[in-house]
Formats: sequence, C-alpha cells, structure tokens
Amino acid sequence: MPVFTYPLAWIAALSLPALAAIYFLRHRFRKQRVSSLLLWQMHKESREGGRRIEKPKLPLVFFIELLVLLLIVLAATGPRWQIPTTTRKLIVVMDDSQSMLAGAQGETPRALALERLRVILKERNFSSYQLIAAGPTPRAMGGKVRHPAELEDQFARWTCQSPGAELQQAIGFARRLSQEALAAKDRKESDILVLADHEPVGPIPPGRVVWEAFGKPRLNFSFVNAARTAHLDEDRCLLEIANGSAIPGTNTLRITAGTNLITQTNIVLGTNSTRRLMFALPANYPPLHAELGPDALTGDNRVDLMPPLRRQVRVQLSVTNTALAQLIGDTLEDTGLRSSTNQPPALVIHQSAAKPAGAGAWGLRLMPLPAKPERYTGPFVVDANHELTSGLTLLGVTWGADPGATNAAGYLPVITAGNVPLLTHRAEANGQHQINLRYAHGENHSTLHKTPQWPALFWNLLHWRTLSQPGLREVNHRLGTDVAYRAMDSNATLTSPDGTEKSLPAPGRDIRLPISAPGVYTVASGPGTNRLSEKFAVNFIAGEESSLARASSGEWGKWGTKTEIRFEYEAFLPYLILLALMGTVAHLYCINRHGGRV
Amino acid sequence: MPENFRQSLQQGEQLGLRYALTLPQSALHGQRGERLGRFAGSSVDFQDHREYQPGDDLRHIDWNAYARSDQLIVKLYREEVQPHLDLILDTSRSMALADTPKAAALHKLAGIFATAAANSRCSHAVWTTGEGFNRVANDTQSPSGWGEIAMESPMAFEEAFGLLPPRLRRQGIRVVISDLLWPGDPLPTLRKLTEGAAAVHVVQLLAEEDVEPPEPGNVELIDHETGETLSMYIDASTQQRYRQTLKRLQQSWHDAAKQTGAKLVTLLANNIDGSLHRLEETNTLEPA
Repeated sequence: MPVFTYPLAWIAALSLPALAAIYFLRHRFRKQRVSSLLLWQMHKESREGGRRIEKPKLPLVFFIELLVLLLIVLAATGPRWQIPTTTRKLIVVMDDSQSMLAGAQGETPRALALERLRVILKERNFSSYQLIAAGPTPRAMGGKVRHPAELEDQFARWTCQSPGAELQQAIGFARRLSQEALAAKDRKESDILVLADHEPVGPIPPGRVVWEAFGKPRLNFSFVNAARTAHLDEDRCLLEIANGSAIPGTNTLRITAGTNLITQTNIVLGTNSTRRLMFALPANYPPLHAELGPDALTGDNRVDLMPPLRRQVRVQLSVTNTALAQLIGDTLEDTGLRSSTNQPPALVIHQSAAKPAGAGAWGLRLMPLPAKPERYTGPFVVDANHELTSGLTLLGVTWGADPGATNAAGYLPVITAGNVPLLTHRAEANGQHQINLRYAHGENHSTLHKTPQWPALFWNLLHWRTLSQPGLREVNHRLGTDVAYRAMDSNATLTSPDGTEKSLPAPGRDIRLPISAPGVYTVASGPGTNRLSEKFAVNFIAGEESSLARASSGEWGKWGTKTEIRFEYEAFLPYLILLALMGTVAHLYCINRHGGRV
Repeated sequence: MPENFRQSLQQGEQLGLRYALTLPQSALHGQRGERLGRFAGSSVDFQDHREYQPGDDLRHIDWNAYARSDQLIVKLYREEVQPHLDLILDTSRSMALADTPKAAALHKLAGIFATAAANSRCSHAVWTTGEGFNRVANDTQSPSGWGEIAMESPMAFEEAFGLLPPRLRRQGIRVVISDLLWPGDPLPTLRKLTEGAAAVHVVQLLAEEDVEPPEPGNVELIDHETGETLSMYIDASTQQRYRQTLKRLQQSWHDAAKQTGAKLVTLLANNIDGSLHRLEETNTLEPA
C-alpha cells in the first residue's frame, strides 16, 4: 500500500470529475438533422432484437487528460511505496508458552496476537518475514519467507504448548539475526515484533523492537507441583494446587486411579495461595489422574502420575573376608536396590585381580591392603561430578588405605588422599565399568563404614548401575524437561497421547525423547519377546506460566515515527512526473493529429 | 407560402431576367409558338420545295415554279413552335433541411429557371413531389404569381415518380432540382426523365451541411425526411468516409447522366448566386 506525504493534495482530485463533466456535457449526443441518412448507412446497424443503447463515446484525449490529471494529483500527494528494496525485514517473536491459550476460544492472547499480526502485515510491506517461537529456547518456526501469505502455514506451528517462554533470549536471537542481515547486504536493521501476553520485564531492549501484549488477568487454578515417589512398599504422592491469579476463587479437584475415585473435593483458594495434598498409595497402584475443573487455562488443569520405577541390581558378592562380606552385604540390603532374583549379576564385588565375566557385569574390586595401612583423615580430594560421590561428604572421616598405592593405568581417581588413590574408576569400551576401592575396614583403621557416607557410597553405586539399565530413568516428568531413555537396541518407538507413533533412532542407545505436549506416552525398544515397553507421564507444571496475575495488554516500544517509516519508503514522484509528461506529449500529438480539435 | 420563400422566388425571378434557357435546336418540338421548329410549318420562313401531294394547302403552291416547270410544286415553310420547360422540383422534406438555405435556394432556382424559360419564349410547367407529382398552382404565370410550393413531402423523389409520374410534355426541356439523396440506382430514374425529352438538366442542390459532415463528437443524426435516427460517434475517419460516400453517390449520378444524355450540375445552396455560372458552363442557361 502506498502512503501519501501530503494527503490533503487529494482535494485536487476534484478536478477529475470536473473534467469528466466538461467532456460529458461537451460530448453527449447532440441532435443534428440531416437531409438523409443515406450517406451514413455505413454505420447503420441492424435493429432486429431491439434498439441498441448507444453510450456517449469520449475521445482519446479525454482519457489522456484524465490520466495526466490523475498523475499530477497523485504526484502532489507525495506518494511513497513500500518495495522490498526499501523496506526492512520483520522478525516476529511469538510467546510459545501455554498462557497464550488462556481464555475463551477466539479471545485467547494467541488469537488476538495473530489478528493484530495480520493487520500489521496488511498495513505494511516488509522485505522478508521470519517467525521465532519463544519457548524455553527460541526456535525458528520456518524459513524466511518473502510474502505474508506464506506465513499462514507457519502460524499453525505456533501451538503454545511450552511451559515457559524465554522472551529475552528469543529477542536476543532475533537481534542476532537482524545484525547478521545488517552485516550482510540488507543494510537495514530488522523490525522486531514481540507478541506476548504480558508487559516486558524491564525496559524494552534497544533497537527497533515493538512489544505487544494481549493478555488479561484471569482466574486460573493450576497444578504447580506433582510427584509420585517410591518409598518402601508404598508410593508417596504429592499434589500442589495454586491460584496464581489476582482473583480468589473455587474449583473442583478430582483424583482417580484407574477406575477408582480416590477423592473429589472443592478447593477454595485466595489470591496467590496454594494448597498441598499428600497421600500414599500402595506400590504398583494404577496410574493416578488428577484434574481440576475448567478455568481460563485448561492445559494446567490435569496431571498424570505413573507408578514410580523400582529398579534393582543383582549383586554377586565374592569377598573372602567374612566380616567385610557381612558389612557390604548388610549395606547393600539397606539400600533397597539389591535384587534377589537369579538373573546374571549386574555388579560383582570381588577381591581378585580378574575382571568379572559377563557382558553386563560391572566390577567393584576391593584392593589388597598392607598389614599396617595408613590412616588418612583428610583432606580428601573428591571428584564431585562423579556419580559415586553424589551427596558424599568426608569431613571427619578416617580412611585406612595403602600409602604406597598408585593409580593403575586407565583409571580415573574419584577419591584420593593426597596422591594416594582411594577410589578409582575405569569405563571399558564395551560399556562395563571397573571400580577399585582401597579401604581398610578394621576398627583401628577406618571410620567411614560407621558413618552414613558408607551406605550412601553403595547407594550411589547401585543407583548408577540401575541408571545404566535400558529403559526410562523416571516415569513422571514436567513438560520442558528432558526425558532421558536408554534403548535396548538402536531404535525406539514413541507413542504419543493421541496415538501417533514415532520411530526414533538411538545409535548410542542414550536418547532424549522429543516431548512437546503433556500426556501419557509409551516408549518401547528391543527385539521380539524381550521388547521393553514403558509408559511415562509428562505434566504441564509451571507455576509462573499458570499464574495469569501479571497478564496484561498494551504496546511498548516503536519502530520509528510514522514520518520516519514513511520516508523509508521509495518515492516514485519522478516516475509520476515522467508519466505525466509522456501523457502530455501524447495529448499534444492527438490534438495536432486532429487539427487542433478535440 | 412562407414569406422568405416568396422572397426567394422573387429574387430568382429577378435573377432569371439575366438568363435565357438554352434550347437544343435539333430537338425543338412543341405547340405552335413563336420559335421556328425543326419541321415544316406555317411560319413565313421558307424552308424547301417539294412536289404537290393531294391534301397540301393550295395556298402554298408555287405558281411561278409551276409556270416554269409545269409541275405542281408547293413551298414549305418552317414551323413555328413554342418550346416547353418542365421544371421538376424535389419538394421532399430533405430539401427543406432546417437551418439551411436549401429550400430558399430551391425557390430561387425555380424562379431563375422559370424566368429564363420565359426569356427563351418557352412555356413552362412546375411539378413538385408529394403523393406523386403535382403541378404548382398558377405555374404557367411568372414565379411571383405561383401558388405555394409545399416542402413537406415525406416521400422520396423516386418513390413519388413511381406513384404518380409528372405528365411531361414530349420534346420538352426538363429541369430537375433535387439533392438526389435517395437510395437506389439513378439510371432508371434518369431514363424515365430523358424518355421523349429534348434535353434533361439535373441540378443537384446541396447545402453546406450535406457536403460537410458534422463536427467530431457524439451525434444523434435525424433523417429530416423520415424522422429515422442514428446515434454515432463522428471522428476524422468517419468524416472521411462520409465524404467518400457522397463522392461515390455523385459519381453514380454522373455516370447515369452520361449514359442517358442528361446534364448534371451540382450547386451549393449556401452560395447559390455565386454558383449560377456553373449553369452557364453546362449550357443550361445562357445570358439573355
């Protein structure tokens, strides 16, 4: 659409109807009597079927004059046209979080933002368009397009299912794209449009950024926390419900497990308040489903909690020292992670120099000690990032070990006392792990086995071993967090809540499952009868996102004043003047050709 | 008769005093009159001798010749005739085109021809078109004494000729004054006119508006004769085609006149006084 620098000049367009009136009055059919129509018979037409309506025909010069006048009037308005070479790129940062779906259909911030975006696209031309969805991480919703109509396909990908929107990060991404284009060939900084449901936190980032918000503070109850963990023979469940809006209200909570109704109750919550429910269920009780009544945002009104995983490890204890064997055996039992099945051992605790046999067997070797081991009280150097040292503190601990011990080749020290390796680890190429422990358990040598650090060390070991087993690590996830999965073979199948199946390659076995929406999923891998199929739940739990208290509407920042924007457009005044001159020449030619008569 | 037409007639009568109708000697024939005819008659002008034949007037026997030759010889004298002019006026509506001097010119020409005929000692009759051809009242008198010449005939010249043709005198001189703007082949019409005529003069009387098409623009043309209308846009090319069509029409009349021995002359009504020399050039009139 062209813009007009001097729109008042359109008043001059009144000359157009005036000219038309002059010509019409001059060229309307004038009656003229002739002696005979004989000499005009060449123009006489058959009148069979009725008289033909003759419209007044105007000469060519009239149209030329009309065109010239129009061009002059148009030139006087100072028109400017948005053409790709003079316009900027538009990068739209779209809040992809769930809160954009709050409200009735058609009144959601997403719908209003789309409507506004379409208006902007209609009003202004840009050289290209790029959409960026602002979720936990910014992502481009598609390639850069040249025409607004091509964006319609990308709009469908704006699903607003993310548990949060890192808008600042997305704006930074957009600015980086803009600066890349600036450095390349566009020579002009891109216009950035942010579509959200709340006002910007802090000042608008510098540059050509316009922030438009379409949110409204609405009453919304939501689950802000949900957990189901294994504890001995039962599952402990936690549900936390919050009213994050600025309006107090009531809602209904209904909790079911399979076909069993566990509870149904009304919840009354004031402004910014929460209610926590904790209860226990027998182990392996069916999946738990909790649902709140409808409110502004429906995506955060339900949670599914699957029975937690109870993975155990088959441990073979091959220790000749009876007391030590007893100590380790008791410790393993206390962790609750030792399996009593007759499966091949997954962990062998031994004293021999030979590595454990078996494809999946890890080894913990208790290294031989001298008759008089040295007592180390610290300081201990601990690799805090190692799986075995999670939560381990060795302050005040006495650790008896061989002072002459040296680290074997290929082993990484995990805990050392000075340069004496106490606990070392080596990962084999086939996936096995070998751990060497130098520990003198005698009463006079060490105190570690009398502290809580001792069972913690073995719990870490067994837990680490369970994590390396195929399958899921957790079955209850928050949307937006990684769902880690170890496949049994190089391929896994993920079944979404809507029933669609997706085959996922897992060349390194460990993969992250691509989850984009809440619900109950099924993941399976492995061949034939050994195929491992597990269900897991992904819940939308995002307290900040569910809180609609800070939702607001408005516009912040601007791309420039209207005049600035207008003067960025291409002025085509010279072309109009040129065309008008050409029209004038054509007019003179026509007049001259007809001997000065019109 | 409208006063201006009467005035035109009188002006024509005045102008006609300068002219005499050119008479074709070889074809003079008519009632007994004042001019010497082509055949033997009763005038005093000797023409020839021949042998007496029973029935001859004994008064014409040349007794001297009889005395010399003993044969009855009679003297033949030239006959005295009075040539006749049939002035045929196209009084259809097209000849009274509004805002043009066409009708006035017609009256003036009629006056000229009638007076010129009198100057040539010719009798004359004036015919007008209507529901066929009719004589003008008192047409044998001088033009100022004629009755009204009605110019309201919706019938074209050719059509009126077919309905009720004028009773034209044999061996008379016939002068037709018309704009000749009617469809059809002019040859049959001219053949009828020239049949038994001593001479036929066709005077095409056109107004300036007939010769030059209207100015460019949207024009609703109204046929003054039939009332038929035609709406059209006139531009330079239309004007050009109009002129070409008129030229072709005139050429067809010229060709037909050449075939039938008639003489055709075109006069412009807007300048009738200045066009009279054309009548002299074509030997229609001659100075009195």
